[in-house]
Amino acid sequence: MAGTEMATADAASSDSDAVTPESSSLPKARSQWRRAWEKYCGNKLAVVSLVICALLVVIAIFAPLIAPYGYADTNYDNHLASAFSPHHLFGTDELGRDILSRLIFSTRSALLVALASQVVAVVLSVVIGLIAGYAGGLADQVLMGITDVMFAFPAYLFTIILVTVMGQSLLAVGLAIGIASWVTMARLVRGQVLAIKVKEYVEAGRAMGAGGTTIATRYILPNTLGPILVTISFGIPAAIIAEAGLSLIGLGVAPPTPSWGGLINTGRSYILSEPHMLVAPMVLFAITVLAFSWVGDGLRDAFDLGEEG
Amino acid sequence: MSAFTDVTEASTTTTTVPGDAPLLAVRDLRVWFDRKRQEPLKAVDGLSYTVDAGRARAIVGESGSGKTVAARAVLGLLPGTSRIVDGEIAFGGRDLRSASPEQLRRIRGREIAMVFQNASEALNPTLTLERQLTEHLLWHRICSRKEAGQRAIQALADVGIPEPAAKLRMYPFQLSGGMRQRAMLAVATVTRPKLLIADEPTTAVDVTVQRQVLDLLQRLKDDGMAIVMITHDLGVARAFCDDVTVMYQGRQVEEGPIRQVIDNPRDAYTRRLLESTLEVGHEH
Repeated sequence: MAGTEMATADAASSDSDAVTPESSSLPKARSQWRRAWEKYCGNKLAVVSLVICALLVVIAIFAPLIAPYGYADTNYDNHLASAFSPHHLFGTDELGRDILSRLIFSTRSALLVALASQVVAVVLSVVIGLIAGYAGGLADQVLMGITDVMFAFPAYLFTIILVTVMGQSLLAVGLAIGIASWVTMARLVRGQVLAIKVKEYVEAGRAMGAGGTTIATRYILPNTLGPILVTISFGIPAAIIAEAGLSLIGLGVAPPTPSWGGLINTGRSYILSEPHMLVAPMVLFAITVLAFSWVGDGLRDAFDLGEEG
Repeated sequence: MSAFTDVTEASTTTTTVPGDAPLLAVRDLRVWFDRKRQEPLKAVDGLSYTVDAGRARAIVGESGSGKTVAARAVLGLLPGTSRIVDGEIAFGGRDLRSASPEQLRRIRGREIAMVFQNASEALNPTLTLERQLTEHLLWHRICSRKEAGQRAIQALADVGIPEPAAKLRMYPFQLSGGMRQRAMLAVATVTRPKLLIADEPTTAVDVTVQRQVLDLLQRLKDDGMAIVMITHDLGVARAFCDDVTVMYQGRQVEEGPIRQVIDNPRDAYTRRLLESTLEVGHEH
């Protein structure tokens, strides 16, 4: 129902786009997205962070092309090579695997886990938050009851249980982190929905004959997207930290797939002889987490959400 | 209990209108808000009025007199814990009280439209004007997409918005307050509803926009639209409406043709209301 309505509305706008002439005397039409973007661009730190994030994403996507070696290529004759050695910029680890390549591939691991976790978290929290906030009554009480129970349960413990059950593949770790972290986002979505559903334009939509699905998807949901986006941008570094933490204690992505937590754990053993083995993954990890967090800060300011956004 | 006698007199006068039944007939409407461990709040307690095509009725009263609830009950859009406990709402011969939510949804926007008091809040900030003007035309399958675009431009032009074609691409927050109020009116009337419920359409705007809004409503009325205007301003009601219902604390205290009520108010509250508005009127 809502789907077809959206489709027709989309078609309507594109149809008459041809009819409407552009007028020079008027300010350019700006959606709230465009406005937020312009505000975002005024924040230098956020822009630089966004560039770094984009770079990291490119590295993650093209990891096999960028990395000089495969992440699991062992060379026992040349293990624990120092940094800046002839063929290995960051040296090799205890199994003779190229550390630079492993760093590049671990970026891919981290971002994949972050992506999977956020997809899961967004889907769960939007569905649950929207239904709870919009329907209210018993549905709200039941769904928020579940959410509260989840909230009371330690997220890390829950993630560990899920990883133990689902296995230590990248996807499973991502799913586990996502399932353990949708709670705050669901509460946020519900809160937004509660605030928006009493707005006059929602009432106006009803007065124009909009059905329940249309109201929920066209009037309420689009107005919650800003805060959701901000939550995602803070959820990404949180997921990266969670994954690194799991890997550090050997519960994250299974070897030989590289991950920052695993690299840091290995580097720990060689802190005195080969400190770069510890420092390199830590620096990369810190840069990634900071960059994503600053993007989140920038977005929060751009959407005028205040401190708790 | 003068209120009660007024109601009975009013309903006898309105039912004596010969010929067709009125477009909207509300009879003895009672809307209560349920409250925990308390008597229900009687927001509307025995209201009767009729509106014919091409005529306008003002529902006048102070804040909290139940006038907005009385108007929204017609659309089946009652807030929170309120419900219609008694009365009849007949629209074009159909009983709206027994209509299903789906039937009501089809009537809303297409046959009965509503203009809200605060246009800044009543337009969806994530939709362009074009979307807001065309969406309900498409929901109700009133016309094709192409025609909807044309109608949207026409509707904006009708409410006196300059460069309507370019304005279609704009978002509500890019327009001035007066422009938004008129755009809201365009959204409500683009479907050519038979009945328009205007909730304080002139309260939040300045005098020049107020004039424009009233002129537009007058044109719509001349085209045969029936209008229910909720207002606390008897001056605006007198300038525009044919009949008036005065409400006080949920009850209907006076009803009749606007001239008659203003020139010869029978109820003490109406007199007080008139004094408070006319004083302002004398100043300019």
